[in-house]
Amino acid sequence: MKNNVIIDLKNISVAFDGETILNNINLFIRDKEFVTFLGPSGCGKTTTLRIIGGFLQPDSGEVIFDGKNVLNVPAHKREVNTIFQRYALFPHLNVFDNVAFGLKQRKVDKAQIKETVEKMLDLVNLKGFEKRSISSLSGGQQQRVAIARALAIKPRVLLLDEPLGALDLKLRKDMQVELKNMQQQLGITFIYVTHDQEEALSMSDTIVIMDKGKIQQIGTPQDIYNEPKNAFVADFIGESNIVDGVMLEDFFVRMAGHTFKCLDKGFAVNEQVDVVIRPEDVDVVEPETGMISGQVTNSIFKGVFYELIVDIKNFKWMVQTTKHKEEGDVIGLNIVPDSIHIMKKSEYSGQFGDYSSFSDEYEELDNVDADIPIESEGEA
Amino acid sequence: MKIFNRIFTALVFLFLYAPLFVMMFFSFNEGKSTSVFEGFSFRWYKELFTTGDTMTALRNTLVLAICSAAIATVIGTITAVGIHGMKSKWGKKVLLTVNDIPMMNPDIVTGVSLMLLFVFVGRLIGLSNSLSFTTLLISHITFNIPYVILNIMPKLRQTDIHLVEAAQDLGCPPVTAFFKVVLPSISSGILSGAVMAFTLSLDDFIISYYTVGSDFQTLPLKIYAMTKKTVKPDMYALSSLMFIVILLLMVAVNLVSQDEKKKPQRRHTFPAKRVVAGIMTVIVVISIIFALTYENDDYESQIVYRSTYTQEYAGTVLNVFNWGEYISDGSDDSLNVNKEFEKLTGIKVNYTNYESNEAMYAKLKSDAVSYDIIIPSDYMIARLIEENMLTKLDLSKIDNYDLIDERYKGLYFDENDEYSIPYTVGLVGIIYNTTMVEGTPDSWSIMWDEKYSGQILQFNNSRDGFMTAQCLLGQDLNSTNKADWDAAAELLKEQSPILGARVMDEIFNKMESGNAAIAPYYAGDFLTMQEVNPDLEFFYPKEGTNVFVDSVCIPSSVQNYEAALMYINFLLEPEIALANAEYICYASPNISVVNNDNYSLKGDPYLYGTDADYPTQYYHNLDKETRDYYEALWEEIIRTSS
Ligand SMILES: Nc1ncnc2c1ncn2[C@@H]1O[C@H](COP(=O)(O)OP(=O)(O)OP(=O)(O)O)[C@@H](O)[C@H]1O
Ligand SMILES: [Mg+2]
Repeated sequence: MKNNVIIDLKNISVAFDGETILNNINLFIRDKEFVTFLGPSGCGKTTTLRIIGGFLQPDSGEVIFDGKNVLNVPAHKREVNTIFQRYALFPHLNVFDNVAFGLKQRKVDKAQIKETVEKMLDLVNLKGFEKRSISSLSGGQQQRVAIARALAIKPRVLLLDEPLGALDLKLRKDMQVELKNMQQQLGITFIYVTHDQEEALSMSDTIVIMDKGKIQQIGTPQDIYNEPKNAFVADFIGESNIVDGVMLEDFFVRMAGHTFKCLDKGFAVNEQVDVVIRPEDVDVVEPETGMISGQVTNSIFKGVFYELIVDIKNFKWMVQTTKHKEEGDVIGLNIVPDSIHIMKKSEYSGQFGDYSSFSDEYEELDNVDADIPIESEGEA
Repeated sequence: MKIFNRIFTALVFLFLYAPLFVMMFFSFNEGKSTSVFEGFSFRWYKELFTTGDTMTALRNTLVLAICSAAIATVIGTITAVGIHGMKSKWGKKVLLTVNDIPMMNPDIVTGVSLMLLFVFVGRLIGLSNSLSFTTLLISHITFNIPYVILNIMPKLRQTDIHLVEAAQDLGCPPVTAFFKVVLPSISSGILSGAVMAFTLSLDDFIISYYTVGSDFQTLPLKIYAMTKKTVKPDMYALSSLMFIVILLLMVAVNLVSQDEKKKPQRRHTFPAKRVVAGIMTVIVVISIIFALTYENDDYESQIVYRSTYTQEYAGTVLNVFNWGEYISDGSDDSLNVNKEFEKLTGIKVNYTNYESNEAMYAKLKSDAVSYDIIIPSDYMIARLIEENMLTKLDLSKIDNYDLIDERYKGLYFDENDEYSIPYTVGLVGIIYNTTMVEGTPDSWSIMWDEKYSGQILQFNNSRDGFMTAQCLLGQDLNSTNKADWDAAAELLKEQSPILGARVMDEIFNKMESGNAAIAPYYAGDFLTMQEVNPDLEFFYPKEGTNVFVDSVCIPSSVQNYEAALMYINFLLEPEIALANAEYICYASPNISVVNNDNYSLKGDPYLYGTDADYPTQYYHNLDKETRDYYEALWEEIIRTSS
């Protein structure tokens, strides 16, 4: 399993001012792999990149690069390059000289530098910007210069700290494709940090979900989405209803006053568990034909589907359906075994998955509607 | 409201710049006065460049400012980067506060403490001259560093910490990364820090005053020491030039930094500001280089000397410590005495100035500096002898001693003429304006005449102030009887309401411009004032007055005794003594001068008047108890009069 591993982080821990920032990180990255770190702000993504880049010494643990421990190798000698979260472009140099910086340091001859720089600027859509000063560029343009600068020296491993954060949606989509193409063409290992789960799901070979300095789950995008390890991951990736349940026996789980068939096994009899049901996996039917039933407390038209908040035994579910339902309607819900995912109880149990009020994350996404459910709850 | 604002702003600027414009105006004055404009001329500018003395002080000041600014900038930059890179926030805070304290410290505290440190270390390693150019340079570097750090710190904070990491990431070792990335981004801070250090060093007086040695004198020190006489107008010329140079420098720095800020928008426009800034910088640099390399060396000696002088001590250094403006220095087509001596003997003269006997005493007493020649006044000589601070003179090596008037031999402070040789003599009399005062006064009592209320000037120091009252009362100036001092104090208090002001060298301005009618001062200075204002007259009061003698001595810390004797003998040379007498305008104790037909003041009734008419008294060095007593009385007089 561990063939062509290029970077191996072993038991990495870091504390700042006595506060644990990274807690025993273990992770290996294969050559030419596209790995994405995903996690809420402050969870330690940048810190992990800094350790790989050589800008920070961990308090304990090892960084293995190509089979060798590189903890004592200074940053400028590591075959790793970084696109910094805040670009870190050199303000006293113009665009050309910024991109050429690494090449000049490597004593590449002038004609070669010119050619490479122009190719890179072309790649990031900044042809003709060579003579511009950094301060005259927009945020997105600066970000693209940073990408060009790092790619110019053809690193083996590229660390990208939210490299597309400042771009508008259209440009971001384009650059996602560009980056992915470059990664495959140039055969560079990408270690990518993002907040954007969609970006993570669509670009990555492997996703690393982090929270509070700990890795919560490592897996392919499909694994992460379909088989979240705990409530945090389930909530962080996509929308999830996370309901308290009891595993009656293998393949049978009881929740919301009903016993469901499922595909999970291996739990103790009557073990308390978290049950994940994705909003789009719930069938909306007439109340009398449903396995469970509840009352719609909020309904928002989202174009392709309606997003309903449904009160089922005082637990608010999110349900996505193409059927038109109004606030106040009583509906029945069916869930097939394939759509039920059982997780062991964890420190995150009970924190996520209830839509009685929108989570912070939800508010962020949809600020306008944020207070509607709160109002409706007031009425109930 | 707007108009009010404008007027207010205009007034503020007027107050800020008026003094400078007045000074510039008077730098073009034909005459010497600072209150009467006698016509436009470049006389003082010409003087400035033809007398080596002022230019030497300027050069010293520039050398000091450039060296200290350069070194402080390097050290300050390294320190700032070090502090900025510190991990511990607490330590950073402490260091920055520690850095701020010296800037808020009064200069005098910094100066005195540095001096103490230098003297302590100097003693420890057994130096006779603990204070020197080096200590002055160290002091300037010391007080400049915090300002450099202060200028660089914000730039460092603005600099993205990730820049260094980015450079390292692209393959630069940390040191290269610093030079390639950090240095360019903080360069404007470094530049403004360096300029600030340069200007601070340029005009520092207080710290220099305490830490300077005998081998070096800066412009501010020189100007300050001129208080015995008045400040010479070539200083106005110099100050005006310096003001303009600094103004240009400031404008240039501002233009550059403005240009920097606006770069993105104006990339394609012609960088006119840069060109102007460049031209200004070039002017500044050229003038500094000119000042540094200026050498007025078209000097040819045609003097015939009485004694013979050998080159035996050529290459040695002689440290002369004298009052400001107390030697003929080549200005006004006079003789440059020190330069003449250097040519004649090959000995290098380090000439520095003090402004009072007490300042000279303090410097000498600190044991941190050694001088070869000092010129104290009578009572101070008595004190120095008492404290074993003078060396006996080998008169056999001073051939010209026979030129000293017998009257000035065996004076009370040096009865056997072992330690001192008279240099100048002066008497206090009363100067009055004939257009304002009736008749021909002859008594100290005119200073108590209510008719002239508001137009009478009095000395602004205790000993001289008391002297006027003591003379009127017919007392012994050196009385140790407290009742005498009480009586004199009483009289002075009576006088307070009718006084125009208590002043020292402002007397020149006030009397020359007719702002005051009556003032006690030295006869020699009266002659200077009368040149400007012919309405002035002078008399010696019949009750008697104070006489002083300033004499040349060799302190016990002397390093170059033989050269010092040679210098004393040289000062007594007829031609040299004549030049000094003409320049200083005080009476000379040298008979070759007094009898010289070429002496413009020969037989001058004011300087050399009939000595028998009035009793004259020297100041003696009084005991501490008496001194404390009259000082306390004096303080009370000042307090009650205001
Ligand atoms: N130099 C430092 N000193 C003290 N605390 C630090 C330092 N650097 C980072 N931290 C802390 O470590 C934690 C993790 O920071 P990190 O930058 O790795 O987060 P992140 O996951 O990259 O967040 P974001 O998505 O907002 O960039 C944060 O709580 C941060 O405040
Ligand atoms: Mg980050």
